[in-house]
Amino acid sequence: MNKLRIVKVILGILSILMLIWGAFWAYMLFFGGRILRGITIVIEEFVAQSSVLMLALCIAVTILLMKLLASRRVKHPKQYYAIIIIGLTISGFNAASLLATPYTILNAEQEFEDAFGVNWGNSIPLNVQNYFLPSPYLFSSHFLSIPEKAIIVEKDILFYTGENITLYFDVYRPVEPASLLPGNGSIIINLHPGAWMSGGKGTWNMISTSKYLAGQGYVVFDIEYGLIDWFEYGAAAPDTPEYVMGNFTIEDQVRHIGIFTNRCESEFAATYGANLDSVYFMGRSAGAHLAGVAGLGYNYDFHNTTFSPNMVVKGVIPLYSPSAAPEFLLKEKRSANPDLYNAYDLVHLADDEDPPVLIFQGTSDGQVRIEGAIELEEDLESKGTDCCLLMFPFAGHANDFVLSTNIGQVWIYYLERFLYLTQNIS
Amino acid sequence: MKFGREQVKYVCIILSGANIASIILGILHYIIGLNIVIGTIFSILIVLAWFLNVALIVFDDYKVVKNSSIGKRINRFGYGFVGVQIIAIFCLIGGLFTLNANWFSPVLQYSLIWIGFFSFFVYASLFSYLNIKALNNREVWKFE
Repeated sequence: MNKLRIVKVILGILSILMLIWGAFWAYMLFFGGRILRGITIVIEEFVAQSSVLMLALCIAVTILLMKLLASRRVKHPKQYYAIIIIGLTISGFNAASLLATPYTILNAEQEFEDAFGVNWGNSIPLNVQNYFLPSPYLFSSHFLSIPEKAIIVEKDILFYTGENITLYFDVYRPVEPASLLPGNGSIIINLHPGAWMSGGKGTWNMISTSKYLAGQGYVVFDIEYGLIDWFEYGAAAPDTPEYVMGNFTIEDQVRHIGIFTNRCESEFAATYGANLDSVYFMGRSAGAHLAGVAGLGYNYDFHNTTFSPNMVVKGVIPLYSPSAAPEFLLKEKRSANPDLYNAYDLVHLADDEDPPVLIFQGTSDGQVRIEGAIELEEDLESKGTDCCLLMFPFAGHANDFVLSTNIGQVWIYYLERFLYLTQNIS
Repeated sequence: MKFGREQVKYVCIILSGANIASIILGILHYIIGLNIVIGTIFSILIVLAWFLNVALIVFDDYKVVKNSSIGKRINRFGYGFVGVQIIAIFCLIGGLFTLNANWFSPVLQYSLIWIGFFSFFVYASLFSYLNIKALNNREVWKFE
């Protein structure tokens, strides 16, 4: 066998391996990690966001196979065309998320019409819209990313020491005066994911989104809270700092968030030019649950000494959120103390005085099921809370990691509009 | 309608234009920011250029006489183009995913994105130019 033939054989094997990888990606796109569990729960987080590039990869590999097998076109046409059909079929399945984008947009429009009225777009002045994404999805931005605006980032600012832990936050704010931007210095308290027992501020709390919102005039506080050291979870988030771990429960975590709101009121708002009359709680996964407890529980008697009383909460933004705390992560079981459980159940906390809620949910999420998100939206609305559920077909857990994908762009397009519209609701 | 040398030449010229326009609009993307008209045209152009580039590789695979010296070169360029595409895709994946990571420098993040995007269209422009140049050489093609 000459050298050229050996190279061709190696390339052929690599191409087939890539197609098998593409087939696995397509499977994950449709079913997420809910069936296979294990490591697929983590892999699912990368699948839909990279599926467009996987589509391109599968087509490129199919063409490579066509070139490598060109001599078989005449001698063994069935084999040749079968490989092409298999390659193109795998590519086609990987296009599912991209092809579903118009549906995602139509669904989001309907949700916004229901929450803010049919002509909701007209209530955003043109000079404000100039700061926003011009379209829910531009294919070109998918590859070249969304251009960043100048912002200031300050990291690792201490806000709490005690209980053998130290808690820090990062702050993202605009360079331009916030009053000239759509955000007008509104505060976004951003709570990281990690199943209440792992994770941290920074990378895994979607820095790109924090930067983008800072560029829009928001002051984003990406904060830490104490993490539960006695609970194990199969898909723990990486980059968990040791200095936040302790013998905590979810009550303690909400208390830590409350401590931050008090320090924010007394000190940080003035330091960073943030607007206490317009505050949002945003969070992902477990952080979304905590954001929901803080945002919807702000006016709930049980929590009335937890948070600063001098903030005005304008909205809650839970991404792939569990609707209630697992009862074993609270100090007492539900049967022993139902009031305690209710104080960490988002639906129970909701009432018609609560601010609007914007939910992000992927339909292939193996950790937080889409059925749960739909039920949460329906229950919140039945309690009189305005709620928009942005559903992303084929997206899994944490699929807002890359801002410029068909998922990330649609999310940002509606998130920035939601933030602007809700700022002016009293 | 017969798809002959002249038609291929026109397609290659359109393809060259689409590739070069994609490079220019890619640079403008960072200079003028997001614009719905330019963004939509650019998006259509990327899809069009990508499909035509892929079609050209497949077309060459069927129609080029690989024994001739220029045909051999076009065939090798075709392999190179597929290789560049695959590397470009991995660069884009790396660049886009690390944009969120605070342990990578923005220079590295954007370098990966730019290498991924622009290497494809630069190579595509060269590939279509090579095809246009070789079209008049009857030894290279199996048109009839």
